[in-house]
Amino acid sequence: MLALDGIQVVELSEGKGAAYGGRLLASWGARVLKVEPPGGSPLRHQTVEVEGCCTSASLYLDQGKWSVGIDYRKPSGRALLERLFSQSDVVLCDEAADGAGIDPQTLHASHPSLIVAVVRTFGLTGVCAAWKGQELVAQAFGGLAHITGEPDLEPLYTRVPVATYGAGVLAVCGILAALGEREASGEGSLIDASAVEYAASTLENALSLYAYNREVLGRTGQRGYGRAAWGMYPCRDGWVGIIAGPEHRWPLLAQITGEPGLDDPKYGDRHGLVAYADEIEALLLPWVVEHDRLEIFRAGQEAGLGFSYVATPEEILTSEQLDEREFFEKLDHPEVGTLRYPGSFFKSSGLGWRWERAPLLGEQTEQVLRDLSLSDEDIRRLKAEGAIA
Amino acid sequence: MTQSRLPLRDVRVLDLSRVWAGPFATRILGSLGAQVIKIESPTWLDPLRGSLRPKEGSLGYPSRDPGRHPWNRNGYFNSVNLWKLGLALELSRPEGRELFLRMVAIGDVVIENFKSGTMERLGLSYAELRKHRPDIIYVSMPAFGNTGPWKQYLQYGIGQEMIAGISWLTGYRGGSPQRSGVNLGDPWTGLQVAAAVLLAVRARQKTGRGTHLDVSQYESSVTLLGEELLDTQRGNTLPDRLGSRDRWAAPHGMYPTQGTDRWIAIEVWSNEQWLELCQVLGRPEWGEDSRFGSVEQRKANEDVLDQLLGRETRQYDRDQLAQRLQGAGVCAAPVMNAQDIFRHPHYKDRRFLHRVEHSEAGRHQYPRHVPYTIGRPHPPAMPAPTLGQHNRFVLETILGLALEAVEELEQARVIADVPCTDRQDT
Repeated sequence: MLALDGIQVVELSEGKGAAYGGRLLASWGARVLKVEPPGGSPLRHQTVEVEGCCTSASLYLDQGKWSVGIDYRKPSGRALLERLFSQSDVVLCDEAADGAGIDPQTLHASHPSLIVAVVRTFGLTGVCAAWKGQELVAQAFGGLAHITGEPDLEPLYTRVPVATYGAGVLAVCGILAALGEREASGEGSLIDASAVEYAASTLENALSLYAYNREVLGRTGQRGYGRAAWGMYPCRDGWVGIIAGPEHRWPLLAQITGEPGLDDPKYGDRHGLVAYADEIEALLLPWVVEHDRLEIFRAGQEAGLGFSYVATPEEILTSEQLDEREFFEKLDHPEVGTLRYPGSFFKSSGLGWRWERAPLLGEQTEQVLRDLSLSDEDIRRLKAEGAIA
Repeated sequence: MTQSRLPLRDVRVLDLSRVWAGPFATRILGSLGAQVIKIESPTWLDPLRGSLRPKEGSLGYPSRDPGRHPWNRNGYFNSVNLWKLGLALELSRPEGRELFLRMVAIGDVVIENFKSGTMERLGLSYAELRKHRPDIIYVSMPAFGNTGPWKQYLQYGIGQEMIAGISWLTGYRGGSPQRSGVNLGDPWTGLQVAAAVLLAVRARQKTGRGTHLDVSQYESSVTLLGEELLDTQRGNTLPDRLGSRDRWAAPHGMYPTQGTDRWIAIEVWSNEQWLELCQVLGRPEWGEDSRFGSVEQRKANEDVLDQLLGRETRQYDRDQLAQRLQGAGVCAAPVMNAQDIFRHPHYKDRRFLHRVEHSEAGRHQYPRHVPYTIGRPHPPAMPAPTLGQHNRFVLETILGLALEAVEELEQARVIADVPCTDRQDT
C-alpha cells in the first residue's frame, strides 16, 4: 500500500518540472497518466531537431507513470482528454497546455472539484507569464546565475535542473495540501508554481542583504561567504571541500594537517576566516595538494569536521554509503536494458516507493480507454482516426 | 482568508532544525498553515542568528546596526524563519526534555537535522517519542541518513553539492569544478522534505499511523543528478565542464550587454528560434551562414558563434533585448541580481515579496516560498520569532502550564529569551 493509492493524475507536460513532480506522485502511489501527443512528449527527444528515443530525461522523470497517446488537437482526442480530466483528481500541466489549447483557469472553473497544478518557468500570472525558457533562463531571472561563478568572469550556470525540478516539487506541495482541502470541502484548487520563483527562493541571504542594507551580492567564487577553509581546493587527485566547521573544532585543523601555524585563535571564527583568508590558505594548501580526496575527506570527518570532496557521476554510482542504503535500484527497460535508477531521498517504514520503469509511448493507452468504458469498437475507430496511439 | 482556513491548520510541528535545510521545510509548512514551534537551545542558538557580538557596521543587520540583541536582528535568520513561533528551551536539561515530551504528546510532526544519534543521546529516540504520541511523524535529516558507513559524518550545504556531484558538473569551460553561489543542497532538500511531510500527514489521515522519515540530505542532492547518472551508465558521460552551454542546444549561454556586469541569458532550442534571434539582432545574414544552419553545426562552431553573438549583444540594453527576444519567441532573460528582483514588475505582479514588521528588526520585504494558490490570497506572514519570544504563549496557552511554573523554568534558565552563554556552534 502506498500513500497516494487511489489518486489519479493527468500529466500534460513538455518540460522537466511538471515531469519531476509527476515522478514523485507516481513513486508515492498515484496513478499518473502522462498524456502524450503523436511522436511523444518533447522530453523523449533531445531537442526538436535531434530525435532521440528514450532520453535519460524521460527514463528518469517518467518512472512509474502510464503513457497515454492522444492527439488532443483532433476533436475526438480532445473529447477523450476531457473525459480523463473529469475522472481524475489532479491535472498537472506546464506550457504544453498552451499547445493543447487548454487554459488552466478555465479548466479549474469548469471542474470545481479538480486540483489543477500548473508548473511554468515564469508562472501562470504576471507581466512575463508568457515568456519561455528552461533551466538557464530560470537561473538567470531567478538570481542564482548572478551570484554563481568567479567575480571577474561571467555569471555561471549551475548544471543541474534545480529551478525546474523545484517548481515541480512546489506544485507537489500544493497538490498534497489541496487533496486534504478537497476531502474536507469538496473544492479543488488552482496551483501556480514557477521555476524562476523557486530559483529566487534559493538565494540564501542575497535577498535579505538587499532588503536590510540595499547591498547587492555578487559572485563569490570558491570561498563560501568569502571564508578560507570553507570552500573547494585542488588536491593531489582532484578537488576537495575543506570546510572547517563546526567552529569550536577549528584547532583540529592544525592537528590534521600537521601545520601548527593554523592553531591561532584569531583565525578560528567566521570573521577570522574572512579577514585572514589568504594567510590561512597559504598554511593549508601545501598539505592539501599532497593528499588525495578520500584521505582528506576521511581525515576531516573522523575528526568531526564537515569535509567533502568533488565526486564524479561514476563515483556516486559506486558510493558505499548509497549502496548500503540501497538508494539505487535496477530496472529493466525493453529499449535500453537494465540501468540503476536513483530512488527515494528518505527511508520510511510507513511510506513506500514504487519502483517502475518509464513507459513506452502509448503503452497504457488501451488500458486507460477501457477504464473509461470505451468498447473495442470505439478504440478501433479512434485508432483509425489517428486520435490515439 | 485567515490562517485558520489554510490547509495545514490542524497540524502542529515541533521544529528542532537549525541553519537552512530543515528551517526551509518548516517555513513552507508554516506558510501552509501549520503551527510551527521553533525550539532552540538558548545556549546553542541557531547559527543563522549570527555572532552574539558582531562588529559595528556588519552587513545583514538593519542599517548595519547589530543593536543590543543582534541575534534578533539578523536578516538571514529572519527571512528563513517566517511563519514560526519561538521557544528557547534547554533540551539537554531533564526539565527541558520533560516539557518537550509533553509537547510531543500534543504535536503532530517532530523535525530535526542533528547529527545522527543526537536524539537518542538526549533520550528522545523515535521509540521514546512514540510512547508519548503513538502516531507522531518524526523527521530526522542528518547529512547522510541514519544508516550506512557515513551516518556519523557531518556535511554543510557547501560540501553537499561537492559530494553529490553538482560541483563536478558545474564550472567554466575547461576549468575546475565550481560551487554554485548558494548552499544549494539546503533549499532543495528543504523543499523535498516539506513535500514528504505533507505526504506523511496525508498518510496518517488515511491510516492513523505515524512514521519515521529517515532523510538523507546526500540522497536528496543526488536526485538532482538522475539524468546524468543514467547517461553515465549509457556511456554518455559529460566530457568536461561546459560553462553555461548545453549539450543539445546552441547558442545557450550568458552574453554581455551594455553596462557593467549586465548579462543576458539566451537559449536557442530550434532553427526557427535561431532565425528569430538573427532577425532581432539585425544580423539576418547569420541565418544564411552554413556554419550555423542546424543545431549540430552551431554546436560544432560554438566558439565563433558565441564570440559573434557576444559582440552584438554588447550593444544592447539588457532588459530591452530580453523583451524583444521573448516577443519573437526566443528564450531569453536578464541575469538579475537582488536589486533587479526587488524592482522587476513580474515579481511585483506575483507578490513574490511581501512586507513584514518584525518587533526588533523593523519592516522589510521577504520572499514567498510557496506556490501561489489562485483565488486564495495568502494571509500576511508571521515574522520570525525573536529568541524565546513565545515561551509563555507556548507553555501557558498551548501546554497549559501555570504562570508560576513558567516563572520557575525562567529562573532555572530552562527557558530563556536571551542567549545563555557566549559559546556558539555552526
